[in-house]
Amino acid sequence: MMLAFVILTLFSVLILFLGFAKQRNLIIPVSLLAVILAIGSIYTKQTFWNHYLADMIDTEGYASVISLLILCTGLGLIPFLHLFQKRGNEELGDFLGIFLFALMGGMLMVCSQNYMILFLGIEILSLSMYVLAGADRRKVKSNEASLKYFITGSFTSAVFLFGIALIYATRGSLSYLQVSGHGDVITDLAFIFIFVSFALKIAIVPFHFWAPDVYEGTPTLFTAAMSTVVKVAAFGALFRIIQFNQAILPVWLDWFFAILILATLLLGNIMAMSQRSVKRLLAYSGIVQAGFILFGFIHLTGDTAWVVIYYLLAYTLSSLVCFIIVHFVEEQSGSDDIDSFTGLASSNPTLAILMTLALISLAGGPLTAGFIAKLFVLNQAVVYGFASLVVVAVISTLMSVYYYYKIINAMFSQSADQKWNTPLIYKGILLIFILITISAGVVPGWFTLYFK
Amino acid sequence: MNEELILHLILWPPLIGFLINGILGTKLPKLLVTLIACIAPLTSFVGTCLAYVQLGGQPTNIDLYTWFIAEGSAKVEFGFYIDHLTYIMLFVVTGVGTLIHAYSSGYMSHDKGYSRYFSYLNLFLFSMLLLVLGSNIVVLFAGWEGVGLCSFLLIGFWFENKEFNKAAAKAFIMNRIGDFGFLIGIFLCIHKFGAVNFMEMRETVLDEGLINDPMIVVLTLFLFLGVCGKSAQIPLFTWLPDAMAGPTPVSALIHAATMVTAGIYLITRMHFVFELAPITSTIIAIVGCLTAIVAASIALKQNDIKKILAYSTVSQLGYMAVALGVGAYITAIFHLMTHAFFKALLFLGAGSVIHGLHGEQDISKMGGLKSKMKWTYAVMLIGTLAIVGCPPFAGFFSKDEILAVAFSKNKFYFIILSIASVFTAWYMFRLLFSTFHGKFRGTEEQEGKVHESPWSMLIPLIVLAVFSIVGGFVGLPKVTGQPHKIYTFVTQSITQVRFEASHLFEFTLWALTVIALAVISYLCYKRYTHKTKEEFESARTFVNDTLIHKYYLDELYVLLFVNPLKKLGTWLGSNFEYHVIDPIVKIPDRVLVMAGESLKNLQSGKLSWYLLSSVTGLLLILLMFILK
Repeated sequence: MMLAFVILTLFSVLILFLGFAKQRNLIIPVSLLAVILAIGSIYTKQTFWNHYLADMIDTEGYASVISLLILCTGLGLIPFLHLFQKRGNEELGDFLGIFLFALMGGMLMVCSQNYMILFLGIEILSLSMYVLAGADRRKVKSNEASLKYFITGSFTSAVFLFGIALIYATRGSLSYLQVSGHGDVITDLAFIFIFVSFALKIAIVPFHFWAPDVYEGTPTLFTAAMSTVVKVAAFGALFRIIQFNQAILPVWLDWFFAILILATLLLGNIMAMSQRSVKRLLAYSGIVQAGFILFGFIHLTGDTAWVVIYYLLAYTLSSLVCFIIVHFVEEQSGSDDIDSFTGLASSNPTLAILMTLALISLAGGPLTAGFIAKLFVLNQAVVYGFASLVVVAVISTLMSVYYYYKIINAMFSQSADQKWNTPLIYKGILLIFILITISAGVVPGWFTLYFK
Repeated sequence: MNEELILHLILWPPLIGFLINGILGTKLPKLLVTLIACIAPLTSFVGTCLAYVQLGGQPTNIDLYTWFIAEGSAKVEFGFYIDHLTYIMLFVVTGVGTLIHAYSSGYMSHDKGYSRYFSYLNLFLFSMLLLVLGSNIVVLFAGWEGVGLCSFLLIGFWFENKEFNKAAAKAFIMNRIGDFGFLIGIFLCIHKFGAVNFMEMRETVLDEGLINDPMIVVLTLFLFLGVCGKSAQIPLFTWLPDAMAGPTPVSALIHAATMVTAGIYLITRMHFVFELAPITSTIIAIVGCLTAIVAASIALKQNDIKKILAYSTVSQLGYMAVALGVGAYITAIFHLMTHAFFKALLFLGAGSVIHGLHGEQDISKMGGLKSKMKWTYAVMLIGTLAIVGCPPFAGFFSKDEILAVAFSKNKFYFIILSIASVFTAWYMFRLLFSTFHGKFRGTEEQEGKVHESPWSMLIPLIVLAVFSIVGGFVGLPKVTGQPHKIYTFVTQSITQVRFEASHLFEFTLWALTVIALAVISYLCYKRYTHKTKEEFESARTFVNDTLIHKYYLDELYVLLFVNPLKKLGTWLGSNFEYHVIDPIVKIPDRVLVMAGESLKNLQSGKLSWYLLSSVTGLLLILLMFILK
């Protein structure tokens, strides 16, 4: 596992140099190689250097599963980043190097067993994302997004640091492993701050306001990373905190999540309905989906974690497909307004069909991963006595169908004047995402087996 | 070869065929499309034969994997169950399916939607296989919805025609009413048995004596509502005659031989539940009786060759429902099988006639086709003799058995069904004589173009004709001293004692059948052979009018449901809505809009606001923590 961190770091530096040496054609292949090597080293359970930081970094179990999810997301996204270069952005090397750092930071977050390492991970990931948000430096919106993200992020870090300071004050240690005794008022307070900082990072109502603005301004391909890698890492880290601190967690935790879920589902959906910009719409959709993932955190134990991971997988796949297709449409028409999707079914049928399937999965249509994921998390909530909240969730699913359908409707209504095409390789990668989505919906057993 | 592999061999080829033809169909050469489309059902058929040989007829349960487990209730497997009942359905579906695919390649050869047609047909076959193979009610329901979708797509296949689209929509809506009941039935099943698997349900039923349990009665009634929709029973049968808008092979496969019998199959598969609810069984039998006689009488006065056959199908399904209602499940399946043979034959024969006449469907414009379409005439004659129940054709044995069972259970059923049989004989001979005998009544131009159909259409017809002759021999009555093969075959799936009628009764019934058929055919011959086109316009008497207008059922539905709903809708729309609903609805609407607007204002783009809201949120949570 440590090997993976080393590989990613070294390759990031190498890529920065490649960018400097104007070896642009090498950048994408080398990045892919780095991620593949990292995946390989985790998958084959390499143990080099594992004894360093052994009590600070976990190398097994869920840490490695979620790390793999993060790396695979990166692997799927990197080929598309090549497109970013075409638009007169000379600094591809910088951005890919930083992107690899971001992946590394995300992994560090989910693998940490110590709040200090967790903070380090959060900062590595966040700092990288601030830069990537402003990657399109000629655009005012992109700069604005970067700045907003940075300031919100600083606020988040402040809240988080205050939380771990309180932990240190009562426990005398920042390690997850040295948990003894049971919770007290200060620990409860500490967890409030820590959880709120995660709610900020993930964008849960009422801590979500930054998300639509930042998502909209960020170059779409990096929005894709933001909505997947960051969320997976944050949810993963949150899960691991809860997993290790069972003994001292506040007793009202389930209710804390329940209130956040209620606010998120209602407000997220209402706001999503009136959006015209597809990127903003997907931002709100991401907020709502995060609310659904929180369902999995109700009464979370190590035995039920697979529910959360399954949902993360389902969400990541569909979200990636949607944002990438938004990127293509944006390139073609110059805007991400819902009108630019009109007639996509006739101008670029493959993308329209892939987008439709991804949206169906987000909405929770049967035979897709989204359906099974929702079924699992809601089932969990029913079992632990939150049936009334599940009713709200089902109603909110119905509301969400409205705005997902709005996009589908736009794509299939009217025919466009001219056809345009996307290179086969990109369509192929998107198709693979969709095929995984469908097979995870038809045969969930293949995936849950691995997550359990 | 292991059982799972065989299952894959049966189940997937049609889906693969659908995918290839559906995605690439327009780009592939026509021959390849035909080959792919026809090889798919043939592979399934071969798979079925292999399964029978390899598994030695042992009931086999194959769970491919668990789809999901709903904690605290049921476990849903993607599971399949092959027993003898399944074999009969499989042989019918894949066998008749293969023949109709082959027939279609000739019938649809000039259509521009050729590959689309075959991709739908393959998808239908896949759904139907899912339906009959499913080991639990969820998989069955997936297939059930799938066949409904394909039926909708194929009825509206020629979508340029508005009327056809309406017919497709009608079928879809009527089926939705039924499916709504079916779905509630499924939920109640899960609630009652805590399982979705048929075998598990059966065990639960055997463990607990649940006779006349009110929940079971309600549950079976809801399931029967689903059956009414799919298998076209009163009051939901009016979609089936309209469904004839689709291409004729579709009518043969979906709306005669396979899909519409899904309801019969469902009840047979779940007979152990239905047996616990005698009230439901009685209702099924009565509905079946009514359907049989009403549909048969409507068929007497129709002039559209396909409509006659459609009503005939509805009527025959009524017979099967009666058999189910009196507890003779095996008899129902037996009739389902023979019916699949001869009704597919009749429809395909009618299709051959329509093909030969370039789309003419009105029997008042036909006549004298015997000399020009010798093969078609021969097979239609066999089909007619089979359906009217002339010994020793297939329909004779199965229908005879239903009549005998009905007689032993309730004389009322027997009388109704006997009258329906007389009607059946009348409309079928009327169809036969007015189409093939006498003189041609159409235009001369039409007459010159009449031609016999190509061999790709005739061979399936001949195969079906053979089955319509010999198909009944697997179910000989006890009187003959021969074993009833269907009984012995499905005895493991369905526990039912072989039915015996007294010898005297059997012989009387046979003799009466033969005499009645002879008389009816003679009368029909006299009456219809030399009729002119004008004479087909029946005299306007009350009875005639009622029958021609199908008992005014469509009008009745419009009067009872559509118009009142429309009127209610208009009234509500113009009065109630403005004065009552609107103000009430507008409250949350206003609130939502205001909320949206004010929230939009919050989403001002000003970072200070965002941070303030976050801090407020944090403070609120802390406040809750302090106050808790």
